[in-house]
Amino acid sequence: MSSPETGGGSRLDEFSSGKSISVAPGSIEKELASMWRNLYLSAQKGERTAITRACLWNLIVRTPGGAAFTEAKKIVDDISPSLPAHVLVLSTNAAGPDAPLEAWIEANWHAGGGGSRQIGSEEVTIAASGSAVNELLPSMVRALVVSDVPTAAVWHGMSPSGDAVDGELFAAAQRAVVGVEGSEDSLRGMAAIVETSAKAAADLTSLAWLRTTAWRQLLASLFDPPTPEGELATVDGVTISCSEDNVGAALLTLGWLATRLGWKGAKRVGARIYQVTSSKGETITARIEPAASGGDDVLARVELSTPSGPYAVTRDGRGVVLETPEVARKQPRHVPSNADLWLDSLGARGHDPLFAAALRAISPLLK
Amino acid sequence: MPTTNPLREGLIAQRVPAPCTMVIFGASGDLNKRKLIPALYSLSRDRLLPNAFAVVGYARRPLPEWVPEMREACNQFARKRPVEADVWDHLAEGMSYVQGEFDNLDHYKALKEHLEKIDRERGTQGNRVFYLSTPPSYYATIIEHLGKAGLINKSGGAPFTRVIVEKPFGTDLKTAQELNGVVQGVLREDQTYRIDHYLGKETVQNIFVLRFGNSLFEPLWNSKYIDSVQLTVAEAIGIEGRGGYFEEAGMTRDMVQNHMFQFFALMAMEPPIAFEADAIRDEKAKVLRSLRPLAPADVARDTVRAQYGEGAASGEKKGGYKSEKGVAADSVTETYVAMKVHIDNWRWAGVPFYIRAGKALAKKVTEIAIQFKQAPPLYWGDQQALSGEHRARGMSGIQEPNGLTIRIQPDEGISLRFTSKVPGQSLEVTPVSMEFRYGSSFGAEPPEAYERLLLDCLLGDSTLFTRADEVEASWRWIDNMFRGWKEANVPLAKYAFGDWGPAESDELLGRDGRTWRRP
Repeated sequence: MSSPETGGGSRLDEFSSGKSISVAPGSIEKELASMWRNLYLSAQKGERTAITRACLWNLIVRTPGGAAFTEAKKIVDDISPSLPAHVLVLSTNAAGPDAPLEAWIEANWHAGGGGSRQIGSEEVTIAASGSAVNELLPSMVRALVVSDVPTAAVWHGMSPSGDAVDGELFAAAQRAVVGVEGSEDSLRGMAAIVETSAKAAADLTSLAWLRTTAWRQLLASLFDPPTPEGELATVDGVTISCSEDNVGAALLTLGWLATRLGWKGAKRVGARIYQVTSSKGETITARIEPAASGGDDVLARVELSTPSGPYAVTRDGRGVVLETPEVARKQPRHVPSNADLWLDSLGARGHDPLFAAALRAISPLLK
Repeated sequence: MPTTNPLREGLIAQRVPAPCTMVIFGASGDLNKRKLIPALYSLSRDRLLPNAFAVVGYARRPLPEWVPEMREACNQFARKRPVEADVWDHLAEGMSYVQGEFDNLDHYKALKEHLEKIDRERGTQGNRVFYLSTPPSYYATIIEHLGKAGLINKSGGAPFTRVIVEKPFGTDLKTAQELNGVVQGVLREDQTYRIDHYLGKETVQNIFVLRFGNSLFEPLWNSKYIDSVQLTVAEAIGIEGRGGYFEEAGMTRDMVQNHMFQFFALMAMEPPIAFEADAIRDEKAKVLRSLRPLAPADVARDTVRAQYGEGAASGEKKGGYKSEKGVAADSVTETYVAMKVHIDNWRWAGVPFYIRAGKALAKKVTEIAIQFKQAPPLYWGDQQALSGEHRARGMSGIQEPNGLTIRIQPDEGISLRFTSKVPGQSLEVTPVSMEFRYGSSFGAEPPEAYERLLLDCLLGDSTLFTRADEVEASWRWIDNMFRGWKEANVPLAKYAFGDWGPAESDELLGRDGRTWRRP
């Protein structure tokens, strides 16, 4: 491997054009420093556009490799204009054959104000297989985290398992994001993390929870004026429709309703049938029903029944129908992409105390 | 809006206004087309408007195609383009246009009936925001007619009525006081939202955060450590065909009395007791009341007014101000103003604030530059004054005072200048900069100023709007300067299009041993 300074003009060109460059795992920092220095020098000489190196987060993405790895790399590219970060993408396959670590560096570029200035953030990719995953990777991650910048760890296509890499990520991260889909199984994994207080030192969130954000806001809007105050206290039933792989998200929505409305004692009374007790001591039955397939959103319908009639939010083509006993109104629906959700998870919504509260409220239902 | 809806509690985006209708007077105008409707569209796109929301355009012309025209305006001017059909259709469902005169009470009664119909059909509950986007000469007329037509609920209870008044708020102290008199006859102060779009800019709001969210700067934010402050609003273009307006206004009324004095006050104010509208506005008003009035003799010395002549910008020849359409051949309207002001309070005693604003300058920039006092030049600086031993050790270079620059536009950010050693065997020093740029640190696109301000008004939050006493305090000082210009017959200086202002402006600082920053 030639260094960028000694014949590495082409490597510098590749780096400045956003291509991935193979580097020795032990030389990642040195190679990155060299690339940036040479870019600055060539910009000063007028050979390149003026550049800025930007970093708002350490973003460490753990994947099990394969399709999840490819998808994660794509999402990193998608979010880089909005989130300048020092990114580590880890492809970890502990069950694979023992092999040396492999590493690549690249820069993600976007134009600055007026299109004249290029703003770059760096991305390091490390592939680990076999024993290297737990023996070599943790120390490497530790060394590559930039100081004085907050750290977020994202598990994409896998849940934290508690191995040495996860231990390192939880130790480094102020924000932990589990990106697996909203199945009931994945929710059990999340509940286990929350119960392990040491691991929950980081703000914990899941993409399944973030996918319910718009639904929770729409549901809340049904009870804004002119809906009479106190109407929520009369809710006597909940029905949530969703596909099988989003049952976890439906349960989180139920957990959120329980924490907001003071419902206690959640218990399972049948297949996807649950009961809670209202603050007035009345029993409220909640059901999760299968939705027709083909929907692009996390939920299909949420209905709160009351003596005066149903309050419901229903997916309807590209829109959503908001329904109260008085009126039904359709409005546009925005389904966030994975990139949107990652950005959300690193913003204010990533440390949302409602998530942990909702998860705690439904933990009896996950056992 | 205090929430009584438990499902709203804790939601990150819980700042959702109550049901409401917004009536825009001057709905055929440029501001409505370029800023207001695109801002409402963006708010709708971000799901920040209430479900029950309506927009009524009101103007004198018949505009049967007003709603489709507004869609086209959004396609041209909205932050996210092109318009998303679903979002637009949802917003447009609640949009309607009413043709009416501004001084005909019967037309206001018809407007009232229209609004009551909207309340019944869309559940907007009688809550109203009236936006005055007309020529300023109609403000008083419209407010009086709103009152007479029973369209204002002054009680403080539901339903709410709020009125947004565009700048300029008066043309001098007398007219501002008269307009305030009319406003206060019809509305309570907390129903009145005097808009200054500069306060909706992220970087202006960040002045507050920079000062009071960090422990680093505030201890130094006083006359003990700060030598001087420069505030610059430079525009690289001329008046662009707005001669009719600009001849009446001039640069001082157009920029200094409102925008510049507002961010100047934010920069100089004491810490408010809370991040609340009146607490912040109390402190801003104190700064404006503490401005040292200019005696007539001071005006000629401490202010400069000038007008641009022919010149060149970006490699093109440009005509002078007097060649602009609508400008009188003998015009004495200032397109540039510079001034030295003092704040007579404990914090700022002895610190000069240099303010300049101009059209047709070298480049577009708005910034606040704070120059700290010089560290004792014992080791670097004047080479002749250094000891032979220091010189022999290679202690050379430029030791400049530290500087903190807050760039409001463009390329928003903060820059801190300090002295550093030049790498090598000697002890040569040089000034270097540490830069923070919004564009590179936060990739996310900030909302437009009008989006923030419209949403705040819908929510009943007047923190970023100006209060009557602030407006009057700033006019009081400006009026005094105008009087001085007249009494002392202060000459109108000249500068070339594309230059950094007249020589007289450089002399204003030169007399104090300072120079203007070159942004």
